[in-house]
Amino acid sequence: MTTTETAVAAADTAPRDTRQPRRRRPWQLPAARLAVPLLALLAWQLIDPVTDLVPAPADTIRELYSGFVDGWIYEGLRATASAVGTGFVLGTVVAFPLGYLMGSSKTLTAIFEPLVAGTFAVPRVILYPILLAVFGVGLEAESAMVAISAFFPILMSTAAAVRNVSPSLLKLGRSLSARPLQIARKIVIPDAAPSIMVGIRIGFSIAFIAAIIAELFAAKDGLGLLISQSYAVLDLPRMYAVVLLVMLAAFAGNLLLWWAERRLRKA
Amino acid sequence: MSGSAVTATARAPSRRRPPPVATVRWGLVIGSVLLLEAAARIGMIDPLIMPPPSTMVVRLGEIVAGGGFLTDLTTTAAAVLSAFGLGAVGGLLIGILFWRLPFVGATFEPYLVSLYSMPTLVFYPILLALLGLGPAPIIVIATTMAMIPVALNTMVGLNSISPTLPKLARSLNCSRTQTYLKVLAPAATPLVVPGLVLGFIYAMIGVIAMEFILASEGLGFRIGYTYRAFEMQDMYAYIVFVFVIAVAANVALNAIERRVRRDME
Amino acid sequence: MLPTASSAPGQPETAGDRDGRLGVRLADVGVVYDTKDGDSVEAVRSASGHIADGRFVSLIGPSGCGKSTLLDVVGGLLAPRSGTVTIDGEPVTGPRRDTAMVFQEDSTLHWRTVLSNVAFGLEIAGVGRKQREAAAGDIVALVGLTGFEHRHPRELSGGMKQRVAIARALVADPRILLMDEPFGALDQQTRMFMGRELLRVWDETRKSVVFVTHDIQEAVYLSDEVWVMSARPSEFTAKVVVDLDRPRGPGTMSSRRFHDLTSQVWEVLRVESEKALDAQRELEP
Ligand SMILES: Nc1ncnc2c1ncn2[C@@H]1O[C@H](COP(=O)(O)OP(=O)(O)OP(=O)(O)O)[C@@H](O)[C@H]1O
Ligand SMILES: [Mg+2]
Repeated sequence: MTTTETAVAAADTAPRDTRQPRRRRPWQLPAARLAVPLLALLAWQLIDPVTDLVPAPADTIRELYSGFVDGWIYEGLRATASAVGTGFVLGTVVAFPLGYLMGSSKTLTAIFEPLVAGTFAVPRVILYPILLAVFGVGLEAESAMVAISAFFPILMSTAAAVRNVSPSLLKLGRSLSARPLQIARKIVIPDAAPSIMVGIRIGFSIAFIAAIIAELFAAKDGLGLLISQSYAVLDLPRMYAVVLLVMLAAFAGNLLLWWAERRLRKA
Repeated sequence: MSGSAVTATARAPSRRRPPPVATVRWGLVIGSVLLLEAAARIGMIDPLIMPPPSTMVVRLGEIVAGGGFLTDLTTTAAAVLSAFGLGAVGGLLIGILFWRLPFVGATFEPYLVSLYSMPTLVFYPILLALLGLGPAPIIVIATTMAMIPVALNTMVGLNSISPTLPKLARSLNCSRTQTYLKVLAPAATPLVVPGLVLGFIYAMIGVIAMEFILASEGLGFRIGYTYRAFEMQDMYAYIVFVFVIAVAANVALNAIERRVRRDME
Repeated sequence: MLPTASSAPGQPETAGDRDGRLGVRLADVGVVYDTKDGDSVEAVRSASGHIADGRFVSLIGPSGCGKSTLLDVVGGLLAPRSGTVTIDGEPVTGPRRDTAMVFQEDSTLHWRTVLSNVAFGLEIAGVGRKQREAAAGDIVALVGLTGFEHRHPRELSGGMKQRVAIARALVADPRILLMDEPFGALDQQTRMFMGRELLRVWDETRKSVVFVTHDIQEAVYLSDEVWVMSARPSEFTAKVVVDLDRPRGPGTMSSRRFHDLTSQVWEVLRVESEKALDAQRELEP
């Protein structure tokens, strides 16, 4: 995950090809980008008559609209939102101080980093049955799943961000006889904030995905459950409507956090 | 980081050597396992919630020895390998395409990046309907997950090649193939390899997570199945197995990545 | 140790400090770094010297000889392996409020405005907002950054950032100023200009200054003394007393004496650099 983050960040400054780029007008790129979802929508529209398995975009959107007007969506939406919200806050609140501690100590890093990094490839969902065994099906198990999923990226990015705080700034703090708390509040956290935010954004998307998987597996409520229920009775417009809502919600959450990250990077 | 007056960097090192970190690390791991073992044995943990770790391992041994396990393992492994293979080839091609056609790359890049963070797996009922209940829907979703990091890293790797290198190749009258194979590919490798590593890991996570919710075979399925069948010992045995496999794969891949990076940089 | 290149008969000590108790005194300071792989690097072998109260001393020496290390020691950021540093007779045990540092690397806080960067030290010391911003405002004007108070470091040039760091050091009115290549990132013209500005401020306040530089002319132009360091593990090979009149100005640099002094420093430095190169050659097969 980190590799790609840095890679993506590097893309902005990387020297491009030596070939003379063809001259483009400034509006062309945004226009092309805008065209992508429109073309996807068009493709969706074109597929509709070919198969019974895909309802038309208009039907899907109408169904989603009815979900809000008739209210059948609220229960599931509320369940997913509260599981994601509770779990995400819990994961962050635990991961942040631990990450800070880890990042400030070479010894703690040396002890724990290999353990945390070593489990990077373990699909967190395999822990869900354990959580179900402990908490039973419901909000607690799902929130715990979300918290665990969010915990690791936030822990790692906080530790890395704190570790990468510029040594000359720390030196400045010491030369001014700043107390540890002052160094934390006035130097380390502001300097590390944008990178910590990257971890929080990644943590959020992983946590959201985990919540949906958890709901697809076993839940009392939630958007994931709505998807599998409407699939079971082959209510395809409703299923597509919920899928659309899930994608939009994930997109909106990411956009929001990404925007916050940009703000922090600028300030 | 400490706010103390004077750092000890340049002081005489203290004679008393602290235990090496590796000892502490593994001490902590083994200690926690032993703690769980003890807690489960004396009944502090309900055996219906978690059996003692030793029981899990013993049970895992029985499962491995019995029939059926190999089918699950090969199903999962085949799915992971297919998803990784398809994802790697697709990702490399997309990455090269996006590099050759920067405008196309710039157009699609934000979508590719956000696809990363999307629960694409909610499309599974659609794929299920289109492709039927078999390995295909799982492989499709895992392939998408594996492809994205490969494509992005390939594109970035190629884009970050210093413009002097192609110039150098031209000045030496390299053929097109030579330029690609001897100059561009090695130059981009340090970024492409981490992309491939991530791709493999995502293929693995994707396959197991998808099996967990929709398969009828495979390790991920078995974890979900044993949970529903209330066979807690089996469930833990499978979880331990997947955990260990995932950690081992991760460690091995990172070792390869480090190797390549050291050789290339 | 080479003989001191120029003796200092009757150098003007501050009145009331005839025994030289005031000021910074280094006695046989040695610093050894323990590296990560268990090795150790002897950065400074034996550095001794006295910076009398209110004097401007430049340190010059080959790259990597331990200039920054010595400043860290004087600033109380690093404890020496051997020897002692005293300020006004008291041993240095940690950072002091009457000592301020300008670091070699950019140390502006990029999320703060110029004004709040300059006020940072006062904020840490617990000075109220109104008071510290007033003080910072005055210093910002002094270093010529008026109009940029509410800009962020990323909107400033390298030279302006250096001025922010200098202003931050000056704002608490320290008695001792430790500056590590503060003009390192600047072009020649800006460097000269900043040097003159620094002298103007120093003339008004007469702080003790330890100023690290690689630029011989700059060292001679600014200082009362130029201390030349040997290659690592370092000691002071020569201390050149600069007896040029103050206040100094454009005329100073064209004077005969200025020329003599710079060549004197250059000569010692050349011998040192050659020794360093010879030592390297011997190491090669
Ligand atoms: N934290 C450290 N750990 C190990 N060695 C160090 C450390 N800091 C400095 N050194 C070594 O000590 C020596 C002196 O370093 P120092 O930064 O004081 O040199 P300098 O004279 O300021 O050089 P420059 O003119 O390039 O700034 C160098 O050889 C350097 O490699
Ligand atoms: Mg230095």
